[in-house]
Amino acid sequence: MKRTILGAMTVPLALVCSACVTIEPVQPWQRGDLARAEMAFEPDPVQAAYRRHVEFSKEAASGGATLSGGGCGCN
Amino acid sequence: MKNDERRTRPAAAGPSLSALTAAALALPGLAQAQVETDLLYSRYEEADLPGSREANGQDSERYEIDTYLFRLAAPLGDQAFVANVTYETLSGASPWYVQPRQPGVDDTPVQVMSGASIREQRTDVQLSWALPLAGIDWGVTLGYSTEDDYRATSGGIEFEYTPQGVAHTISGGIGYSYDKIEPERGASSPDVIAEADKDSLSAFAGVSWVLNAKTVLQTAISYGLHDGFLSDPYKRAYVADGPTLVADSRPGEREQFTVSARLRRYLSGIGAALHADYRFYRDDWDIEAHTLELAWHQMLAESWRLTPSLRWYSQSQASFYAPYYQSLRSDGLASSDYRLSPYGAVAVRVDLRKALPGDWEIGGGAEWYEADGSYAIDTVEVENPGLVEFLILNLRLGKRF
Amino acid sequence: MPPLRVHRFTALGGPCALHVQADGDEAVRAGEAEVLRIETKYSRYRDDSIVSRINTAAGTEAVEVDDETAALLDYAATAYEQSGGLFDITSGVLRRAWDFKAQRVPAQAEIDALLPLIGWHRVTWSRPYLRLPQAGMQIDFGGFGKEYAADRVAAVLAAHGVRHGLVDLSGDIHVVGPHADGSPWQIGVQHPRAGGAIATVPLVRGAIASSGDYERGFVRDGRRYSHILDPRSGWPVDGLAAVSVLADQCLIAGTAATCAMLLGAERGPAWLAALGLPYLIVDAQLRLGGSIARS
Repeated sequence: MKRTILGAMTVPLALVCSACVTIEPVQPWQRGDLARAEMAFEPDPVQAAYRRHVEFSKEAASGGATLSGGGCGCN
Repeated sequence: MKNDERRTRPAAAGPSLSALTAAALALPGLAQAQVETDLLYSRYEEADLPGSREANGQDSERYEIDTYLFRLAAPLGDQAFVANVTYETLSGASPWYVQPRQPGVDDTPVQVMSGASIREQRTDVQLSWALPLAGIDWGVTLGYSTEDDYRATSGGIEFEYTPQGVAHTISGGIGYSYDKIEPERGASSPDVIAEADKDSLSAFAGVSWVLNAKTVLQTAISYGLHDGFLSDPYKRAYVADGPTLVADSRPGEREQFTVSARLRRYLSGIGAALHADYRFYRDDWDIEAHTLELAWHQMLAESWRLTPSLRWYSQSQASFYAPYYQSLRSDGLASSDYRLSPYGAVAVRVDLRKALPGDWEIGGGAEWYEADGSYAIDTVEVENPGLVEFLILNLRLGKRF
Repeated sequence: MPPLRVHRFTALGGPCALHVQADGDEAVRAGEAEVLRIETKYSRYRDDSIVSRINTAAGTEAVEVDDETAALLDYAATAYEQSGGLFDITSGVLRRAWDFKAQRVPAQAEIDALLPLIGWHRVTWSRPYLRLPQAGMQIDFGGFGKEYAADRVAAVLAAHGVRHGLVDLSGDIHVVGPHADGSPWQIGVQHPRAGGAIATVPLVRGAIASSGDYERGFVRDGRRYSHILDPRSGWPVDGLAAVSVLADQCLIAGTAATCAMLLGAERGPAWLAALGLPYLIVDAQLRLGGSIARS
């Protein structure tokens, strides 16, 4: 148990570190790359909705930075 | 802005249309309000369950699902309306219960599949309405999903807020769902309950940071509470010291927590965006899960976009789960569902899309997913024989007006 | 079906025409009102405009600007960055040396005196505060105000239910939608040396903007002096006769056309190709090039 919680903490930390950045102020005229469609948190809402549904019906874990709708009788 | 010297040449990678576009769209009234329509067809096919994992020793076919997903997003002034309609047909057999191969002789758990082939359909409509109010972007969602034996009615409110002069955006939401199940009697389910229901509450809160001109990070926490009938009415659990088969029986309440992070980094030298997502999950059934997803969005010449991605998932088992039971637990709980078993899974995906003249877009993709005890973080001593392997192929078409 | 009507007026220093297929004239009146609003707000000739307030305060304190102006300044900063400093809204001060009406070529000393007053890099822009550090510096929105207005008017027409129409602000064009039968508008691209069109571009939506050495330029002693001035040297650019660019926004099309003219015959086409927008160029020998499908 302890080991997995430790593991859980290190992965997000590693993600932040792998960006190798501290927060730098970004001006409106420097946001071109951030505005690209492929930089969205969810670039493809249709595909994302489909995958969320498949994963929800096959795995125990669910939840994240989006609201989940209702369940299903997927057995 | 104040530099000491005049800019003398454009950025190394040449001028950026997206930089100009982002600045232009920040002007009032310049965002082009286009209606977006998307159609996704997806074929989901589970691999046969091999005879070596089955009680009757024969291979058996599992689920196949054909899904049609239609999405319409229509701007209405500074508001927007989005509809997602899903229609799917499902057919095939599903795991019924797990038993020892030869009670008393061979303890290896093997699967017993539901006898009759299931055939059903599901229709799901999700509507959402986005509107800015008092400097905050609000979203209201309503959903209704119906199957032969299952109905879910859901609703929620979300918000997104970027305070003036800061580099982060705060988001959050709260949702509710009422689900009702009215199981059908069949060969594998002669004595199912007549009906049952559950209430689900979910909430999330997140912050996204612009770390620099090429990197954004979002972190979020979420909470889910389910109350009511959370068992699978069609499944059974095997108990060696009789009665031999008991109904799948899970606690009447479940609390879920997640902590997640999503990183997006643009690599301008090669024109690609790297996505890295991680989620830690824990619930009060003692399941812990990790999900890690890496995706590479590569822009190619002539408006092609290639996106290979990898996903890894690992979960521990629910406290009351067992492939089968020697004797009934004192709390009466029992479930042999592979979803509550310890396992890991890997998925490999690739998507290809191309923008066409006239604001059309076509695309296609494939995903292969395999669950296996060996992919789990912790050693899985006894693997559930019903773990899935599936292949998804999809085609899509999009049009902007 | 409503009739196709054309509403003409003069604003932003040139002829304007709103072509719409709509009943009543409410839409075109609202469109014209939007052009006049932008002209009034950003005119450098009006003492009460935001541009005049900023320029008057040059060398003194910072001026606080409203959201629309701030977004325009952010856009100007973006265009400055993306053009490598060629698109510069502080270069208008060169008008003190260059009088295109009088067709006079200034002395180098006159230009040298002005160059220290030019350069967006000297400006302190910290939204919503803008400060011009030296007296005599000035900004103007002439380089993109008309294109912005074309986009705004197109949005106003669309908000009034216009589905088939076109906004033409002296050659900067934003198409609201195709003709009622779905056929494209045939946009004539101005011939840089003669009257009439050098090419025709079909357009069903989006915008086209052009820049050329023919506008307000003059020829003296066999040399052509274009009104497009390089902010670094203070002298007119030469190389390309005209550039037209297609984009979703007229603002971006106009910026791209201007930048390509400033970059000249050698670097202009490569810059446009890297930007990825369809374009049409006319070189000094009046040869056509570029990626626009034309007829």
